[in-house]
Amino acid sequence: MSALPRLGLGIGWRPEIDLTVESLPGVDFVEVVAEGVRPGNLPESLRVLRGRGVPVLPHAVSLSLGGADPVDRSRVAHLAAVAEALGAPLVSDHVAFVRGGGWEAGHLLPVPRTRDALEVLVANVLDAQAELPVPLALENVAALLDWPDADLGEGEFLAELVERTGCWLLVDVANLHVNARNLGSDPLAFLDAVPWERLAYVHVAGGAEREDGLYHDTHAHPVTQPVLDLLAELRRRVDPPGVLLERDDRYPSDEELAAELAAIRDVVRPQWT
Amino acid sequence: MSGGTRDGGVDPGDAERRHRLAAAQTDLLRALVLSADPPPGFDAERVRAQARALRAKRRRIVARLRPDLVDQLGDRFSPLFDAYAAANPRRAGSTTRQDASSFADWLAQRGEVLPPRRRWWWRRGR
Repeated sequence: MSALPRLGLGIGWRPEIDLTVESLPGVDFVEVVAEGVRPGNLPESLRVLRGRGVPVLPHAVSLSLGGADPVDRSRVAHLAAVAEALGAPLVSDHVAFVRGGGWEAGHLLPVPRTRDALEVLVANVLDAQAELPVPLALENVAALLDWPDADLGEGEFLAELVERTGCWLLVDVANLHVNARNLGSDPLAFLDAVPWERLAYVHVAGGAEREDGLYHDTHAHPVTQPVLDLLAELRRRVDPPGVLLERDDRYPSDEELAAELAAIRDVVRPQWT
Repeated sequence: MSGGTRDGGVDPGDAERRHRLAAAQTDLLRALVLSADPPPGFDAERVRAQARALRAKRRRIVARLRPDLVDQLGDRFSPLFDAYAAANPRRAGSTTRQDASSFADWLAQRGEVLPPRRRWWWRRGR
């Protein structure tokens, strides 16, 4: 339960922008999709960053901790091996399920916010933590649909998960915006409900409205002002240990990425300057 | 390991809860990847939007893994991929690379692309 390190400002490392990430000014830490890394054969760019002392945090997308099946120990073992190969101070995945009934969704789906689902999630998280060498942080996901018959709000659901498992939180303010737009959920109620002393770091990302009228968490568009406004709301409640920009597609110029990082830094100042 | 309690015993409620949750999640997944009817209580329009988003993500990943197929198919890539995806939902535990390879085989079987060269070589060698 000891405190996690202060991380600062970060960006998601992706193979397509490896040189950009290495050369961007003011990048204090990076995150890498854990399933894309072989612990015995790390990409050279990640070795360069580690050599400079930049923390590299494995971010998993496939544990399906919110799924009904028991945790797949081989997936947890892979995440553990990646964490050890990178010397990472913590790892993360999502409050989500990605498979079930023999089918793979291919993306993170929201879990029902029921007592049943919470009990199963708690059991899965405890099982995963038992196999991991470092603390586990869990992220709120973006959703296009909502389950009926929720017993708890999303913030309360995460607060109870934290209390019962000792996990950390990775709060994605872009996902809060997506859910507010698509589901009408109240992002401020979320920000008021979560236990900030367990915040590991924060995600920021861009999205866009599509022809279906829904706002999609694309990670392929610029960060929008409403997302930065939510980051400011978060900042009023906590001094976040870290904030990380996710960009996964339609990569802009290095200058544009640097400007997005600068905009994030402006919101979380003055503690970091 | 799963279903254990802090004192090491087995929690009988755990299996029941997992069973109920599995049923609910499987119903939603069937609507998303098999185009089954949305489970009761869900907004059907949102389930369709989520299904489209999942298929689009799957298509983007395969396009990234197999730019050669994108080049060969041009404008036909998306409709062909969507037809393949609708008929071939991903099995649990399968990888995106297996999906890409399976799509290439599906295309070759339909004569949409030239079969991989190694197969020609293998057949001629017999």
